[in-house]
Amino acid sequence: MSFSKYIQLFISVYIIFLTACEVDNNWEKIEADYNPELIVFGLISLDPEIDSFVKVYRTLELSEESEIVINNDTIESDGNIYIFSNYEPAGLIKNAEVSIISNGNSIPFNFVSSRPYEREKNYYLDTLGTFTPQPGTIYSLNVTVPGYPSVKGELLSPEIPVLIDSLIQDTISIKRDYDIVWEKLNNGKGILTGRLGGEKDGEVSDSFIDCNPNLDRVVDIQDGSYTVVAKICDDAPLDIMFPFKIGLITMDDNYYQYFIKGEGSKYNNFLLGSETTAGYSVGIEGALGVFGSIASTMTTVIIK
Amino acid sequence: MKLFKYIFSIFFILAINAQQTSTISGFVRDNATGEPLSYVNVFVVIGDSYKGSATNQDGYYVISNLFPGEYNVNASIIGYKMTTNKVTLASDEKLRLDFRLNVSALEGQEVNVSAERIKFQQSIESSQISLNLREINTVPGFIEADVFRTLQMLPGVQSGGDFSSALYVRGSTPDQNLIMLDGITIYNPYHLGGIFSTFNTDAIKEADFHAGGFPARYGGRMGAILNVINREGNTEKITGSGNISLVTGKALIEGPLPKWKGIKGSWLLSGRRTYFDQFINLVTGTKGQFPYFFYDYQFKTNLDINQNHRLTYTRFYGDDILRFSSSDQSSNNIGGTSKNTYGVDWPWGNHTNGLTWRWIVSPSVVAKTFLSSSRYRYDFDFYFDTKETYIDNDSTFQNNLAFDVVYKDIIKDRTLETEIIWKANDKHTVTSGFQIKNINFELVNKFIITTLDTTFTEKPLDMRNKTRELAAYIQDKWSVTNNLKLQGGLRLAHYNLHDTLYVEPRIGMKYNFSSDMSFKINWGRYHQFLITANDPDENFRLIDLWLGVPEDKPASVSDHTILGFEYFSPDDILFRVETYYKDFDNLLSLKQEDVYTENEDDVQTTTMNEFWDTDAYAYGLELLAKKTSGKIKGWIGYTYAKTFNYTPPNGWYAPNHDRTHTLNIVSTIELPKWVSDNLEMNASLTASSGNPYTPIKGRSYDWNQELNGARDEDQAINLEWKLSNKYLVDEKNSDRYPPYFRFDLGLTRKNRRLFKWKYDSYFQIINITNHKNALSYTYRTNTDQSVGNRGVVERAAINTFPFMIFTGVQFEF
Repeated sequence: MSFSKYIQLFISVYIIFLTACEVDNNWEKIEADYNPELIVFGLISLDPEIDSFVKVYRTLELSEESEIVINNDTIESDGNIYIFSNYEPAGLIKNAEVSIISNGNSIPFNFVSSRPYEREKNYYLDTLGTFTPQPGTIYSLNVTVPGYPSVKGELLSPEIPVLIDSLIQDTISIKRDYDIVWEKLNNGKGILTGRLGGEKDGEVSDSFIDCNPNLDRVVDIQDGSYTVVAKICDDAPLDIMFPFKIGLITMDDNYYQYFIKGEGSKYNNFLLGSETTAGYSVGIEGALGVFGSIASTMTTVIIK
Repeated sequence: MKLFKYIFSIFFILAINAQQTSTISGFVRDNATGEPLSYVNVFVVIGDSYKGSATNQDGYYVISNLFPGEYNVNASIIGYKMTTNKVTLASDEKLRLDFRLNVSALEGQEVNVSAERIKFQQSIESSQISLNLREINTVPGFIEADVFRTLQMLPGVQSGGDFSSALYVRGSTPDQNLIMLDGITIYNPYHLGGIFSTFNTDAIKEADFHAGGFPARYGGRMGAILNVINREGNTEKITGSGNISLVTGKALIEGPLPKWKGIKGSWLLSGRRTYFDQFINLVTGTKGQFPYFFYDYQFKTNLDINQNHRLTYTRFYGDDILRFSSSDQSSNNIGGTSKNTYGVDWPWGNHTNGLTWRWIVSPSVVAKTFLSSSRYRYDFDFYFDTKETYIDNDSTFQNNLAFDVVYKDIIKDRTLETEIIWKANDKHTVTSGFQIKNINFELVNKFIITTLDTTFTEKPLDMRNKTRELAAYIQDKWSVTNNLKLQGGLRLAHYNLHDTLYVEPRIGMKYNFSSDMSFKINWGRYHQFLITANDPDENFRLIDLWLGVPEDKPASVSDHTILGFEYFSPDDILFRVETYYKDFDNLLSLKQEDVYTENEDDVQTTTMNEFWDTDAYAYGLELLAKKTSGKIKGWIGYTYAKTFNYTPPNGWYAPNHDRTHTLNIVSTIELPKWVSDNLEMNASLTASSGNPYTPIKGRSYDWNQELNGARDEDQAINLEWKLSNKYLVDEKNSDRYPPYFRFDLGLTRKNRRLFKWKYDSYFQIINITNHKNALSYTYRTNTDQSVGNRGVVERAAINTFPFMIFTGVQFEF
């Protein structure tokens, strides 16, 4: 055998070795003994800027399609025609009977179909405009969908937070400590937020690695204050002053457990290509999901 | 500490003062190489009976309580010519009598050394097996022979898949195994993420493996013990051997040290390196085209200062290195330049050094003191560096930005250990000792950002601790009667992060129904003070991340109970049936989720020091039939095993490595001459249940809260809840992959000659039936092309080794 034949043999064997970890090309559908169940996200919002809503979905079998084409948009550009499909989650439930009950009053929530690019707004709303959530109130949720067990939820709405402007500096610096003060409430958790105002957010904060003033902090609402510690950073000081909007969101325990603490146990497998859940529900019976409530307030200071 | 000192003092004094009447002791060695021979039967005939003992792993024997007179002292082991020396013993004489045995095979013939029967007679411990080099080479290897791959073929030992040589022993994970090379702990004994073990088989004399129920002299782990013992080196002449496989080149050279004032010794140096990177460099004519290689080398030298004192120095260095870099340079439109450099520098591996002093205090007392250091390092460094220059108004400005990600785990283990073996009389052999083990851990993840005039360092993970394990032990091997042997032991351990003295009793009993049939029972308690902080569900484990058990967590503990029955047939087949139950408490499993911490700036963070308290138990039945002599050698093993783990979020579940049924067949057949001269066939077959995995059962929706900057003047924040798709997982590990099957075949043509060199050529076929063994599944969502709907979930198996052929040459000079 000539040397070149040896080389060919050698490389052939190496190719076999390097392809040892092969993906079988036989793709198969997955059989699972599983009956879909409902997923409900109900929010009682005491923030006038945010609607109270209830979203109703169902889980899907693996053999089901997850996104259904509902229509197509046709766009013509430079003589070319482009077709874009608009999708809707296959698990969206539109025929549920949804009501929120408080103090014996039952208020129906009706399905409002969203525009295609606002898929987050496929939800049930108080279309009559009679629902006015109150702090410290017990709310119950009833959801009925044909073919599924009835869903019930309950929560105690949080108090509306109040930031004490007089105790918050008018002008703050990211390089110095500053206090955010609010009226103490009995208990519960809140989220303190801080954002550069309006258009300046992103434009400025993204250009600073260390001195990004944005703030997201979970606080105990009964503490009444929080000191934002100065950041040690070398960025040049801002040569102009920006509005800096400080917000405080209070939440009920369901919301805190579901969105802040999270599900906890996870199954990690990067070959799935997607996150996993074991099925998680807080404040709700008969379905996955959450029934929670928030309230919020804000003030604006100047940051430099 | 006082207790340790007390125990040590008592037994040291006892040992020093032990007075025996006439004894004969010494070493038995191979005459051609000087290598010590273990399990050699050394005996004297007295009337119709005989009295004797077997050599230990150092080739040392003692025959005590002999009356004055003349004796014929015989040394016998299958494969060597029996040697007899005639001696005359005076009263109270301590006679030193060394043997050098000649092989019984003719020139060019295979030497078949078998000590199985003597091992069978001597051993009280259950679940113990020793593999010599020949047995290690029996299993057709993936590319080359590997001691771990051979061990995976034994009953009770499971593999983590074809790509891993890690050992899962009776429900224990690899981090629960104590892996030693000449007594020195090796923390990550693998190359290439576990495909190869770090042990170069050419240098191995013997691999001593305890699947459970091991005696008090071993501690610090609660799974299994593997002590790989390297050869000492040829004391007579310089010899060497080499091996070229498709991936690695290996060489070994050994020889005697020059004699000086009665001091003599030997040395052995062996090394191995992958050469694919060099091959690519050669073919392409450029360096660094293939970024990975591994190497290891071992050096061992023995110095016999006199007949009672020996010093042994052992060194092992092995590293995997992944290193590449790339850079590009371009001109910008204002006359400046922009240069980007990025790369990875990633070495990981073990470096060990060990010094052993063996002192034969008296014929019946041998003391060994080990001083060793073992360092495991994993040091990942990804860097990106950009340098830009600008020219403005004839001035040049420079802008630099470097980004560096470092992830490293370093363990430094320094151990001092003394062991004293005292053969008190014909009925009692007492082994005692102590151990001090200092371990420094460093587990760091840091990001370094460097600009022209400043450096910013962020360390999301910085865990360091210094631990010290102190242990003292004593065990007595007691021949109660000719048929009944007991071994009782006690090990006391202290871990500096805990205010507890850990007590570990170990007991064993062997009852001989006849000279070739016995019943064994062993029970022991084992603690472990080290853990690995790896994700239990990781798809592929490249390295182990070691940590000491935290201060606020109890030490992991396991109890082993083993019942065994053994029969050694007249035609040299060992039959063994063993059943076991292992209970584990205080295991720690790394939490896989983002752990919520309110004390950090971030709302959620992932940590490496959050663990679920985990309980586990395992039980099983193992059958082994092993034949070590004759034209056909090998073994058949069957394992029935069940393992269950418990963690709070998952309840009880079978861990990933659980396989209920496993059948292993390993054989070497010397083919008859009419087929071909000097042709040997090796075959191995494994058929087993599939490993568990966590299936997905459906798809769910979830909402993630997003806090964005407000678009509206009156709005504090823009609070949104984004819909996301998630897979809905079933109960943990509630499904299994299809059964595993693999049949490998190897052919070795032996004793060929090229000029003066003798060489063997081998040819191995892996997975000869090309059976598809699923390592894992990969998933995709399929789109209905006709209407555009998205998302039917499909899966495909990622298979392990397909049909593959390897070849290589092994030569001696």
